Amino acid sequence: MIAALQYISYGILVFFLVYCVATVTLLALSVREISWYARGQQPTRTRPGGLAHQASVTLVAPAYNEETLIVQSAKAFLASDYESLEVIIANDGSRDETFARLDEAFDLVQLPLRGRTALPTAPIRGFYISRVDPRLRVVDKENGGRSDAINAGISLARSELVVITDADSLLEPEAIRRAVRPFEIHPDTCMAVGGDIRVANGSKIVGGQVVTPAVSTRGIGATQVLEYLRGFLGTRIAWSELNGMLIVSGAFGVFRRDAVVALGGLSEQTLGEDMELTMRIHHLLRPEWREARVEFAPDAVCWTEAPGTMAGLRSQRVRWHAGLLDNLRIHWRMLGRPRFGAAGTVAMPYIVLFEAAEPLVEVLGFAIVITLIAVNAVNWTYLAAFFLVAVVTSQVLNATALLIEEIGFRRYRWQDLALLAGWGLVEALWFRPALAWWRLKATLLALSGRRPGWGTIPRGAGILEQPTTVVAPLNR
Amino acid sequence: MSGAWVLQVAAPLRLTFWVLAVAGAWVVFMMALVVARHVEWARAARHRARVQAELGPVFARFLESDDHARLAEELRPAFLRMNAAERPVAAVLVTELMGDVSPWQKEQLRSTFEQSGIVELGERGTRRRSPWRRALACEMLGKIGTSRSVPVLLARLDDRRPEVRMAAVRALGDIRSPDAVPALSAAFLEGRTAPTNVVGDAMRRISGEAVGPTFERGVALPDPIIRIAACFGLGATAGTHGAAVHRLAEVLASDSDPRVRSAAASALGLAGGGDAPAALIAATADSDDRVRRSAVKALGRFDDPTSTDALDERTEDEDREVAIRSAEALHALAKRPRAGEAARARLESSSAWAVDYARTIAEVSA
Repeated sequence: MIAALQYISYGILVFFLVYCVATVTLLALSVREISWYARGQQPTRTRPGGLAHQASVTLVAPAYNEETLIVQSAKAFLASDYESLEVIIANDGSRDETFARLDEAFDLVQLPLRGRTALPTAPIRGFYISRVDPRLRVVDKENGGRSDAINAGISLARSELVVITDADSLLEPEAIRRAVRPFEIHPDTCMAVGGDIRVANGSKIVGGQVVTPAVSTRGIGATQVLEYLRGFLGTRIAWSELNGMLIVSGAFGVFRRDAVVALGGLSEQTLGEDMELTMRIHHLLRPEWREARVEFAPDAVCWTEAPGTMAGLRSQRVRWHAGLLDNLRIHWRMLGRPRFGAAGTVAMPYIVLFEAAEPLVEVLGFAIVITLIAVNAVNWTYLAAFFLVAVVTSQVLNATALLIEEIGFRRYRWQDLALLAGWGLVEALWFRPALAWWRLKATLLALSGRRPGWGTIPRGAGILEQPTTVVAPLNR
Repeated sequence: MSGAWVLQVAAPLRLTFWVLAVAGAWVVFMMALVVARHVEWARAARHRARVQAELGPVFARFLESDDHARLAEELRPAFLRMNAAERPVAAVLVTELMGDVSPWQKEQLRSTFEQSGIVELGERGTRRRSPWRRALACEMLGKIGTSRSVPVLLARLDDRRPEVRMAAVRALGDIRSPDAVPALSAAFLEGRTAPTNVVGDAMRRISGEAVGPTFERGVALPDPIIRIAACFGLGATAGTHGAAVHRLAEVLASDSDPRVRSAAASALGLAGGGDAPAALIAATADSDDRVRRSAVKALGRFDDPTSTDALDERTEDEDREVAIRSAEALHALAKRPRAGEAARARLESSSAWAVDYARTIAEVSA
């Protein structure tokens, strides 16, 4: 038995080293790109795009029982500095006063609602325009879930691009303008752009805007800030450069409206609908249209409140991991296939190995340690040394993510950086094991055909039967 | 953890020590970079303030007095006094200044920058090792806009970094020199130097007789992305290229790719005149939604009474967007002198929901 454990240990070490090399490579690529990005982006300069015509944008925000913040959120969305903007709030059958609050604040007038809508959704009760600010529209519909509400908004949107966000997301006023820039540079090939999601816990928020970014002193908040920095700035910049971005976050993403419609809208068959849509863009468009791109705009910032308790975090992460596994199951045919470009040959293997399989390996590692302790075969000195190596290498990732933040944006003060570095030192002791355990739980649920809070797993592959019609060119 | 045994094996090789040492050194190095970067931000802010304090009043005096001789006298020594970190800031200031002044002042500034050696410094900047500085120099030369910079910028079309090539293409578009057309035409038709639409945009800005034939060749190429960019190019250069509208009408009627037909319809809306309304009216019956959407929208830009029948019919289109755009086009035509009467009659007699929709939006927005 000890011999078997030794062989498994070999495998885990190799896995760990490959993960480090792959991630450090991505981080290095991100550092290179962010250096360029920061240099070409002095705050006082405007970089001309390729389009004389400004692409029209519709922001779609689903709302379910959001009566306390919906008016403030709508006002914050309308405060964007993007000129050609329409905002659609999709009231997803709220049981509270969400619609009444909007009507009261914005003096809504009903619009005729006939003609075939672009995407099938739960019945729409009414479509309204505001007399106070005609850029605001409200869709009042029966409850159908987040994806359904967004699909209703996209169906009634009239712009070339749609921003998908949440009612409680805090978009910076210039976020949409910055996220649209890749569409200006690649008007015929850019299909989607993901924004940079940041954790607002600890920051000062006034009127739906983050006015002073700061890091929460609580470990759960600070560690998530670090985690988001690693995830968004550390690796997505590199994935974008390789055209291998497999997820545009649902909290803030910009899509070609006609591409989303042609692909059938957001899926209701997965818990990770944002990732699924992004993967579908690669899966269905790229084999015939190699140039189709999914990009990341690191300076287009959306702040979000991260879970402040371990219970909240557990529920979120189990859901996310179940969504990830759903999406890998639906799009497994992309794995290793050159016809999907880097999305198939690099990003898919990375996600399968280091996100889907990683919790299994990590928990296996812990189990082996416990077994070795139980049979009194553990060498404590070397165990401590290996743990130290793991901590130090994870610090490499943290330090590089902080460097990228400092090169590109410098949002945080000295004390915030120190706090992040401090919590980064101890995350391996409590945060990562908890994450690994929750993700393993989600994996076991998926393997048994169940999912958190949503019964059994639907078939899912039907969404790949959508027609793969290509999109119209953006106007110039 | 799981590697206890592995470490037992690896210990004789001192692997643990080396992994720790290298990773630890890397962390220290990264954190040192973070600190250095934090300090550099503060330094950059000081540089910006210093350069703005030095050049701001010089530029302000010029804008008040138009005394370009004095500007030339003051500018060269000011630039030469600046260090390597300050010159890019000055380049940005020059770029911004060129965007803010009148055409006459721009002309004066151009010769001043040339006399004071700023253009020469910029041209040297295009050969710097750092790619962002090369791109910035290209951008500055483009904004200054002297034709002597064209050969330097043409050389940058072969730069190894795409951002520099793109900056050079844009700068050539800013200078608008016909000398750049052959190289840009080749770049447009081959689609390798920079994104096709960026090259197309630069050529549209140069405009003139020399550009039209390139776009004409572009609409016949197999690559649909080039054909789309060529359509918009033809639309923008229709004023100087007589055959543009006719060629676009042909593309709208015959191209096999609906994306290209849609681009041709939009471009006809921009170009106007000639065969455009007739071709667009025919396109309102296209089998593809995207083409119909572009066609009805484009028809709203012409004052053509013959288009009202087609638009009225399309207000009942099965595609929601086509119906709404048709109604909006009729509302737009209702305000025009020639098509107004026919459009108003159509709107009054229509019972289409899209007409109500467009009317409500127009009333609320007013």
